[in-house]
Amino acid sequence: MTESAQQISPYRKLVEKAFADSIPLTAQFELTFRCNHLCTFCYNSPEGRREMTTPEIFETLRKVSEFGVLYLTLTGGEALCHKDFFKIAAEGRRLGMALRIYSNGYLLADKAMTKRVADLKPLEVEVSVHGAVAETHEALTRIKGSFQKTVQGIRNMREAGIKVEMKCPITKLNQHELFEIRDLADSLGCNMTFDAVITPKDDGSLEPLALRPDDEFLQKYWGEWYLDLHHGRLPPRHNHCAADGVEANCGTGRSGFTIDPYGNILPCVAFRRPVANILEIDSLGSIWSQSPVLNEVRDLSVEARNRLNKHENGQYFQFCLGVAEKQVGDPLGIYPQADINARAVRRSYQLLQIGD
Amino acid sequence: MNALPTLPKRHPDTAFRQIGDEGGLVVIPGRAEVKVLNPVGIAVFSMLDGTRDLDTLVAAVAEEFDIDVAHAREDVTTFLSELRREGMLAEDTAS
Repeated sequence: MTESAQQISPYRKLVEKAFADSIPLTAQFELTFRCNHLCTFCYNSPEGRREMTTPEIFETLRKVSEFGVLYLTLTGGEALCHKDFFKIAAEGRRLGMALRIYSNGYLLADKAMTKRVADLKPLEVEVSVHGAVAETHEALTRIKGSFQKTVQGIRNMREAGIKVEMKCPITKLNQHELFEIRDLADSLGCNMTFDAVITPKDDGSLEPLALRPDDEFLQKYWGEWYLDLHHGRLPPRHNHCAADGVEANCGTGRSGFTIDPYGNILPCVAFRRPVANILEIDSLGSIWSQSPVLNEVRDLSVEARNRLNKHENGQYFQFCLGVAEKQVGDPLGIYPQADINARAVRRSYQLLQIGD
Repeated sequence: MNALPTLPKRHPDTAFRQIGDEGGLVVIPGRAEVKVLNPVGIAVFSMLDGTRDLDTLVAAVAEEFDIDVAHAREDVTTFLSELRREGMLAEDTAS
């Protein structure tokens, strides 16, 4: 009655079925906007309002669990800065959800803290690392000593048997040391993911884009560097949150959803159109198929795919409706970073002589 | 090999989700692994709350999937053994 997920087809079949039927498997819960870093390009835009209390967070977790979500991602801000993080995470586990944690790793330099995370038995912890050396990392986090603490936190987690994914948003400050960052991940026994798109702030400010990597770099990154950096893996030709064989660009409002610290339900972390407040509804099931916002977002995602299919580089796009809306005022508008990346990925496939 | 638990119960560290009539996914967080269950597997797994014995599980499977009891018993027993081998069952506290 069981089949390993490594035999890709039964697993993929189920995930695609969930995607096609808009059955959300994942909830990303931003517990707090509080953070112990001051990252220059952070997309969070706190409104200064009261965040949910811990009892309200527990109520939220109950509704998320009752809706049948399988993967619960706790993030922030810095999730570990929430005073009740461990109570909240344990409640998510008690309710039967698998846990992912997004963190900057800083507080995990404390082994007692790492032990408490290990006791939660998370599926994985994803940690942002912004450079291979302190000077680069800390130019972006603006916290002196943060590089050493983050690396120590990762080391502690690996020693505790926790699966760690290192993530690096590529900026013009770290674009020159990606191989060293990858080597750091290898030496720590972590998977490594780079993100070539810097997103606008949630309030629409384009200020973080000043740090985006330059176009000449992107040609190299998607071209001769990508395979080396990713141990032979080809550049992706679609969004990581999209399922194969489904006529939607991405999983926004479909394969998952996001809840912000105020209780707003959002189609995804990037496309932040408020759907409802979770504290004001009886159940997620009551809005999931009926919400005009979610239905519009799902239609937009299908329309985006249709339009990209007619674009000369359409099959090479990683396209985000949320970034498009913030950057060019239209969720279906082609924004410069997506266009540049798609052209570079196409060039890469041509160089590798892999056809369309 | 020890006997199966009297009242089988899924391990508290597992997370699972049924997806339509196609089957379901079970996550074992401590091992960062996902198992795919077919419709019979997910039906049995969802019943493993520590209140049902083997006979009850077999009867439920035979009825729901319209198969004979002997066939259902063989399937359920094999499945439970596999779950235990994979660490997906809680320790037996009933006996």
